[in-house]
Amino acid sequence: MNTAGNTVHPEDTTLLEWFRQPETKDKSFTLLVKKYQEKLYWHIRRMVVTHENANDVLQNMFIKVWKGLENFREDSQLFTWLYRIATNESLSFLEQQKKKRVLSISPEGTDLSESIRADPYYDPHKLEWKLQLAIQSLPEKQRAVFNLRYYDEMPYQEMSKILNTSEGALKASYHHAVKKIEDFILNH
Amino acid sequence: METRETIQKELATIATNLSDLPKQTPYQAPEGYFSGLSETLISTAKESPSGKVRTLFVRLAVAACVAGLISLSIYIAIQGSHSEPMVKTEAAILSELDTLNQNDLIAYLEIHAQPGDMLTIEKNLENTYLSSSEQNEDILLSELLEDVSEQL
Repeated sequence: MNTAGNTVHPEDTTLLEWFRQPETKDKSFTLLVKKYQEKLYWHIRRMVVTHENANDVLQNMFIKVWKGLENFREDSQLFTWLYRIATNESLSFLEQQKKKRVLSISPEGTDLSESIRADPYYDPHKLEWKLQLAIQSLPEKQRAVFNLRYYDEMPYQEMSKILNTSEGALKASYHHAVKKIEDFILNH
Repeated sequence: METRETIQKELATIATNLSDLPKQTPYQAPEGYFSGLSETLISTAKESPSGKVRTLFVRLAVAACVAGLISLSIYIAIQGSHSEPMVKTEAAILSELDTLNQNDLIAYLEIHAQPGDMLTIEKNLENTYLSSSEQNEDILLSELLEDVSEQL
């Protein structure tokens, strides 16, 4: 057992074992969602900005988890696998949004910076909001690199498995991202 | 394995300003969102397989219809082109030539005839005159004979 906040959660191996048995499958999935939902939600939310988008991506992500968990190979950590699905779903969602914006066929395809400014809690004088605007100025994959390292404090080794990129390339990408963000904050 | 401290130190070496910022996400999730999320997700996930299968079935059905239409139009096009033979027989050409107006033929030949064609045309014309003069003589002779027989 481990704890996240005040809640006690079963170990991943136990959850996987329960998931493979029909009588405990639902219970195991509910516990898995409860264990990881917040971390994954915030990872997705930082990528796609609005709650509605994050909720859609999170739902799609957990549908994939439900379908694929039975065949999950335990040669990687469950946590890493979940993050990989969440990241890929977020990147696919952003790609679709970008296409919609280009075609201008949907009002959903608005710029992410506009979505940040439209947030009811947005305060242009606060540095954390400026930081979000700076993060959105990065290319999508670099944004994922920055968020995983900066907010989730993830080692490059784990990030490499999630993003399927070499540790060296990730290190370079993160350094560039930090520099760009620093410049953005100083100049805006 | 990297620790939180090493990650923080790395950030401080790249950008001091950024390492001093509190790592807080300013976004808010709706109140009570996480408490009911697992139930919503499990019901969505359980409903999804049939939905996906239906979507796949519809896609396959549409693809099959499109493929069918394409095949049908190709078949019709091929059948249409085969209804008239690609190479006409000599007899067919001659029978079609018979139906043509002589003036049209002359007009066509004046425009399209090659120098070498003249020999063929002249030969054909000679044969035509020959046969027609022979026919005329026969007709005249029979008419004459008719007249004689009447007189007798």
